[in-house]
Amino acid sequence: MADPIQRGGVWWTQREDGSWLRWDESSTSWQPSADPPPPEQVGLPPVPPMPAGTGGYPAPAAGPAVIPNYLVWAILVTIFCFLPTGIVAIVFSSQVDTKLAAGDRAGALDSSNKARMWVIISVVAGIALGIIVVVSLIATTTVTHVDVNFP
Amino acid sequence: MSTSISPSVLARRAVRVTDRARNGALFVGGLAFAVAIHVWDPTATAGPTCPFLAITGRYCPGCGTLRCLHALAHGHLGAAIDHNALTVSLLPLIVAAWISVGVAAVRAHPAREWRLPTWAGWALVVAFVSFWVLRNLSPAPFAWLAP
Repeated sequence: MADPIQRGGVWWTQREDGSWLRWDESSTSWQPSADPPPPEQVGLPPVPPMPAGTGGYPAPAAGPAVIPNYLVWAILVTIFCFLPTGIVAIVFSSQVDTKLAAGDRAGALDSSNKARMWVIISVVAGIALGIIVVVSLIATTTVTHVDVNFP
Repeated sequence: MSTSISPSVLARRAVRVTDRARNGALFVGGLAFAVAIHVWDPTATAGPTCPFLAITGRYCPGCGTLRCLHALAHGHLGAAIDHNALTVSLLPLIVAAWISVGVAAVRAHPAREWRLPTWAGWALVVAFVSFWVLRNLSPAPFAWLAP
């Protein structure tokens, strides 16, 4: 398939048979389109914003079209990297869709960015912890053997 | 094809290339980890001790994960559950995530985000915390959760 192109904020891609697909934001999948994408407007001045209340195009939403919730990553770093910060990432991830459902796009984007940040913190903490554990293991095994007897 | 490429398309393409590189690295890293945990036996050699266990004397939800994965890598499901039941129960998710990063690495198109529902996040938070508490209790049904 050819690389996707963007027309008026909508992504299009052409299939092998020449038919077009357009990216459907609501179902986040490629949908067949009977119409080809509108031609690229080269050299035309930008369209001035329409006055409010005249029934023009709806105002484009701020920020990216799809707000990722990073829940899969949050769970994986909780298991494999660092649990305490991983749980924080899961909590922020879980807020994204709840806020989207409530119509709070800005809040959802904020939670999404925080979830991403805590995923990165967890990865860094997990690597740091791994290094500390291995170094301390090498240090202790050469000096003494610690036998932890737990019931 | 359009003759001129808009900056947003170029930016999106660059993001896609780094995404694919990251996904490819994660897929290969996962494979390397699986091979390593199959070869290396955490019970036979001195393995890393959990810092939480060393300091508090209590198990964390992750205690026994390496032994669990080693047992799984050898097909010993019973032993794996004995070491860490939570890791075994999350295994389908781990494998699915590994396959999805592999698919995303070879796909030429922007990958559709694999989106887990909100309830799954809260369920996992509850599962982690309750597993943390329960495996530290001594009575019979809970002691089985200890590594």
